[in-house]
Amino acid sequence: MTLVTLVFLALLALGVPVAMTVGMAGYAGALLAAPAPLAVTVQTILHQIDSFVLLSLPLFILAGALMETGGIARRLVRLAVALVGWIRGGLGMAVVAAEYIFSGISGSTVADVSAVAATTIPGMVRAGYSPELAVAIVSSASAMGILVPPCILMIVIGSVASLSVAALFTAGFLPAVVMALVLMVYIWRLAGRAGIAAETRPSAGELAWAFWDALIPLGMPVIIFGGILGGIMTPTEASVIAVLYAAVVGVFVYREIKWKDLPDIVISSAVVTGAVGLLLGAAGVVSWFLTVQQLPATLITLMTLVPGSSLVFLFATAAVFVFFGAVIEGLPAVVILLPSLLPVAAGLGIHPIHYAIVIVAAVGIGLFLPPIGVGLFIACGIAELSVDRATRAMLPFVFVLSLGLIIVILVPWITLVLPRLLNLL
Amino acid sequence: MIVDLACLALMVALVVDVFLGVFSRYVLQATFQWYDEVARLCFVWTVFLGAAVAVRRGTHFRLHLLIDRVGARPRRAVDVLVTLIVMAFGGVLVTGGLAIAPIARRQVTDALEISMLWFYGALPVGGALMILYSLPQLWRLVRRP
Amino acid sequence: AQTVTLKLATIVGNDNPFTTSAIKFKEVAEARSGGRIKVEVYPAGQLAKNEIVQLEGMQLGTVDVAAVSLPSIGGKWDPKLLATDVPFLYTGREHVWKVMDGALGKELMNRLEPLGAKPFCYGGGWGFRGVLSNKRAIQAPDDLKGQTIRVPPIPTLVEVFKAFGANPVPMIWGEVYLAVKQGTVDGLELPVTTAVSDKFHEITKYYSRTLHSYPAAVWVMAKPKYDALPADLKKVVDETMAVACVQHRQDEVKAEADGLAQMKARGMQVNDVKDLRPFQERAQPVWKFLEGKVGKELFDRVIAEARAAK
Ligand code: NA
Ligand code: NA
Repeated sequence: MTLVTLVFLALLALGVPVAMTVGMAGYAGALLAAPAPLAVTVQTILHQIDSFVLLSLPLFILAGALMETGGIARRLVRLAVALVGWIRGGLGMAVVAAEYIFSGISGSTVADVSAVAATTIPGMVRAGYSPELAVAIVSSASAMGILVPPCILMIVIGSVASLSVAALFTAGFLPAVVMALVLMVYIWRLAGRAGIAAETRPSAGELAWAFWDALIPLGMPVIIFGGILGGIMTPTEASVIAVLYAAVVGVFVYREIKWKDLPDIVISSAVVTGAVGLLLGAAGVVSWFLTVQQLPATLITLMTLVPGSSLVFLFATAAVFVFFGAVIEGLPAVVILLPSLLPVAAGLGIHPIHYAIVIVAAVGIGLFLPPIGVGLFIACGIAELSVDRATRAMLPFVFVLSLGLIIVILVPWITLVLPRLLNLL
Repeated sequence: MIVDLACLALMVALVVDVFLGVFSRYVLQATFQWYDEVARLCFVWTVFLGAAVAVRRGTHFRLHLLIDRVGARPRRAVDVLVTLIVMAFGGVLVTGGLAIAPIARRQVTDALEISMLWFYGALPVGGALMILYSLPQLWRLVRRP
Repeated sequence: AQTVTLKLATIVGNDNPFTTSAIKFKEVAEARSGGRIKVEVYPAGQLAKNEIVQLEGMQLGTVDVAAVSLPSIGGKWDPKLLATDVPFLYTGREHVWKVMDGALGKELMNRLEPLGAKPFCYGGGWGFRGVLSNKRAIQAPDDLKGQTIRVPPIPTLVEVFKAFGANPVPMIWGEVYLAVKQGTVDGLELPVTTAVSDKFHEITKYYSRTLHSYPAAVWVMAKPKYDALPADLKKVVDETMAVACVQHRQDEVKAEADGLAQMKARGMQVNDVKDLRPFQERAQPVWKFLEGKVGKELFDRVIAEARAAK
């Protein structure tokens, strides 16, 4: 166990890609615990990846890439500005609203932050927001957005924990609303102190036009969720419909994707799929090692000793996943730890869907945790801002997001009411 | 470039295949039994070819925090080391793939009844490509004045 | 003396007969060996997520003890192992066990040995498979017509549902619950125990005991691991396996009775198939299909032994 941890930390610190870091740590574990370490490593990687549920992963990645380039983000931002831009701090709030809607069609947080940062940061700076504040707003909005389905992390959790992906998807909507509201209130107060002017209030006609213009992208979540909840298709199958819809809109309706660009978009999505898939597979080996080291059993024994409650366990879980979200991007942490943690959570009477959503929200915060969260890097890259400067602006937002997370932890009802209402649990 | 085209073909095949699965269930009322196996095969190959291309493009997610703080000379040594570790991982996939081949060869898949080597083969092929794509990077690092 | 650690993998939760009898195996092996054998039980697919991975694990040395059903292994490694699971052939589990405990059952079980798994005995199994549906109960073969049924990727099962005019759908386990609940598929086929433990009795209306399949599970141990044991510990393992098999059969009978009671308590309509003959007749193309897979000679022997055992 010590050796595997050391290999992991050393390679991570050296800057070895996380997939290879996790893979080599897993191989070190196999060396210790398996008679045929090489074959076991390869076997475990394949079986981790070879699952029909994970098929929706490349498809939602591809759908996201098609929409990033398809003029969809720009139209959604315009709609969000028309909706809330006229309130004090409204432009910042509009970014939060736009990200909520955009994430409703994109399953990838990296796609979200790229698209939303590129389309909103210049506008915010022109309106008097400092670049640091603009980056912090986009980053915290994207951290919230991971909860809005579709969501790749939820797909992976569904696969690892045998939970219904549709139930997880549905459970994310309201916790995202809570996080978004907390952020908006904070932005409203901040804008008051900074004296930033609001946008002009749109006329009914302008508002209607913005809606009309965004109607096609808004149709996407309707199709995805209508299809799943209406019993027409499974989440995996819905992801194919999302790809076809995004391609048709981008190529034929908006005509912003040229035929000659399509192969590159598809290949890039395959490369992202490769990076994510390898990470998942490699994490499977570490998970196998921890299992044969009896970690699940040990954890269960430990938790029965801690006089505690489900709340202690939930907060500890949230802290762990914020940390891993920042350091190794969340997905491998779920594969490695969730199989051990889930039985403990169940033993404490925590609803698995609530538990999963807390993890997703924590990973979202971790992805933008200064100074190392990968999402923050992307936002800073697009704004051409140093991470050090963004860090100071981002810290209060991390506190605000944590406040939202605490509410989600304390009130399971927020997570569970929608899936219950829709009869998914 | 051939690998890029293979990625393209696999993704397109995946989309078409899953679509045909839904189509056959609803419209033909006779579901193609092979569609989920073909989809999983495409996915597994996409992951390992895509991961190899990600090595070539340098787009695997990594932690920059510590190495960004060291000077140019140690930085180069670290970069060489990192490239070697990536190659070593490719080596694990290749040799592990060979080690499991005797076991995989005896199995056939459920629907297509093809050898499991078709699935397992993606790992050593991806590993070999990772090594191949790392070589020029290593060369550049070593040769740089 | 040195202790030997055995990793025992099941793919189901703590309440399932596979795991309860695994716990029995642990207790008996540890007690009778005076602590020289230590058994680690990994339930719920923690160590190996399905029967294929269990057998691969035996070949790789990561799984030592498991119970696997012949058709699952047969589909992947050795078609002859599909032979005993003839749809609608058996009238009850005593009937199945009688055939399995006979010469043919022994002979087929021994085919696992070259695959790296030393076989000991047939335990119980998953139970007889039946059809859960929200569309209609299955009383006669035609009742399956037009129903979209999720079927695991076992060729014989797929052929059965095709032969009866249903639309068999391959679907990964993780998506099945919701697909049934939302009506994406009309139903699925499962043994009682699994149907109840995975809560399908809460979302389906009919359970029809069609008795179309009962794959008995063989208790096996990784061959190199067994061969390396000293003679006295080999004897302990032999005896413990026999105990586990008996326990497995008892637990399975009880679990099925419990499961049926829970189904009825939940308001499910449970029905027996009154007359198997029309099902047997309609399944003839599947019998032919199976005969093609396993060879005429072996197939005829299975039928003959099953008829003799009635
Ligand atoms: Na999303
Ligand atoms: Na998203």
